[in-house]
Amino acid sequence: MMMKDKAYWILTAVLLMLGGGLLIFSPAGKPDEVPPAELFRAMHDSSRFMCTDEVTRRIIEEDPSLLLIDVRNPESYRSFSLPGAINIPLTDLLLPEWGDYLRAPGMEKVLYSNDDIMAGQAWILCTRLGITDLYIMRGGLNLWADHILTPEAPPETASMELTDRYRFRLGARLYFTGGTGTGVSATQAEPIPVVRREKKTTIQGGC
Amino acid sequence: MGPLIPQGIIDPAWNNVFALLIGLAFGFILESSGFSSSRKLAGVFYGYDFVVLKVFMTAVMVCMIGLLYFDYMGWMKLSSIYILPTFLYSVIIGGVIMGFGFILGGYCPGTSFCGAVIGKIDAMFFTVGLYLGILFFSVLYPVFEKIYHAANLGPVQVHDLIGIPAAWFAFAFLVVGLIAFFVVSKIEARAKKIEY
Amino acid sequence: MEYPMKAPNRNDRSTRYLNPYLGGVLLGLLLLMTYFITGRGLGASGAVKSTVVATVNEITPEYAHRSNYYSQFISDDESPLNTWLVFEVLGVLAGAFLSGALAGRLKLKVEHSPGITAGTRLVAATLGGFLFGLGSQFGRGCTSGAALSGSASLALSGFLAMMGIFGTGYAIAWIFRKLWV
Repeated sequence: MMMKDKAYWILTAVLLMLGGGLLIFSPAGKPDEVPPAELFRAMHDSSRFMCTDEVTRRIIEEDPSLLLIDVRNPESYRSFSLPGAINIPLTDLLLPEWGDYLRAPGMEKVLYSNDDIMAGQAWILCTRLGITDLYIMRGGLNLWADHILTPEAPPETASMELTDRYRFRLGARLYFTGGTGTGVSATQAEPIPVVRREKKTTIQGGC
Repeated sequence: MGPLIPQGIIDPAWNNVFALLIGLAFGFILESSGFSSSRKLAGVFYGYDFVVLKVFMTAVMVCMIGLLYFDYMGWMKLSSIYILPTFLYSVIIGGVIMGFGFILGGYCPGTSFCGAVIGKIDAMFFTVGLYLGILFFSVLYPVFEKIYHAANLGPVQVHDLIGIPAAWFAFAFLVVGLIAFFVVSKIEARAKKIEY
Repeated sequence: MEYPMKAPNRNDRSTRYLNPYLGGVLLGLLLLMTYFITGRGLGASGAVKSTVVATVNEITPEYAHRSNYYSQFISDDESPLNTWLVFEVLGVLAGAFLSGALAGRLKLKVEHSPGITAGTRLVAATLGGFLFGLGSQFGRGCTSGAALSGSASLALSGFLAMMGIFGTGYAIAWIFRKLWV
């Protein structure tokens, strides 16, 4: 009944050894403060997203309860980031030194990255640790740049809401770019080098 | 350390060059394994050739274990690669429709390219069909849009959802897969021999 | 319908394929390398999507710019075909061709079960492609992108896609058996 295929048995032996090695060497289990059912429920709740307009408004109003967290790598953060944001790269999120920031009471923490994939991963990581008041900026920096730096004028027949939003974004653009509409504020020398992935996950209009 | 290009260790200008080289290896491996033949591919559903299962599952196992080791050794954190986000309804609907596509067409996009380039006319027709199907989706996008974006659970990973360490899931996956290989080889041996 | 009860001809070079486990290991290592170098997995359907976007943009650019869907993928300074996946697929074509040439498998033909005509096969192939194209958009990837790469990276979506595709396939295989056996 022995299978003649040697390859199968070699494969089995090697894989089981490697797999077993992983079991032994890898950490005994992730910090599991939040049970999976809770996590699942939290994931279904789309109120974890905060739209770019909201984030922008809070930046302009200098809302003290807002904590912007840029989860990209340091080089990306240095070349451009939102005003007032701190940089906690995704890979460093679990380090103890950031614990105080992430658990600061009364602060609403907004995670962002270029799109919302990395920020989404950060959100899942942190939520599992039981961190609350955590948001993802929907669409990330790509959408932010789209909406704020190059806002789309609504058609003439548009509703008050749309026109108001457009005017808000124009104003925001002025705030960030110091009136030139190209680069961002005096501290940045060059225009935003926003890294685009192949697909822009743009949800045109509001959230 | 990794991933090398996003971290800037390799100049991003090389990205497309690597795409080409990686694709070259991908196409070569697929074709050499017989994935350029629709009848061979369909065999997984009819019991006469399980090459799809063997190659596919082995590849997933090897890569999964590899990624976990890279994470453990500190060469590349698992959280730094692109994790496909889960849009619950959309992915299930997509899977079901693709299932029909597979049974009818006997190919999937990657394999149809392999088949087409070696002269399989049915693969070429499949590829044309692909184009039309995607065109159809894009034109009717306003209809599909709502369900396409619904139930965004984010880039969640299976072990997070079940609540076990990744290594345990990987090991369980390994065991199940290896047993499956044993079982299907028996089925293959007893299937009616057909020439294709 | 009775088929000749003979195994594939072992002396015929063109039916010599890699051992599937070896193929799987190579593919797995390639996928691993791809993640390590680029941070993303493999794919295939995305390249066809880029082609759709590019051609629609060529033929009716006004519609493309207006449409919710197409406008996401077109930019004024570069062609929608300038994507990682398109280059990858070009490589796939070259690699498969090379492999087929080395194995003596280059041959223009309609591959079909003796139980159906070539015409039936072509109709089924086109329909299958259509459905796969449609499904791959909902699934945000095909077997290479979502199922293979997704599962390897432990993404839930990858496993759901894999189970959806193969589960459905097995569920309906018997209905369409005339096409294959």
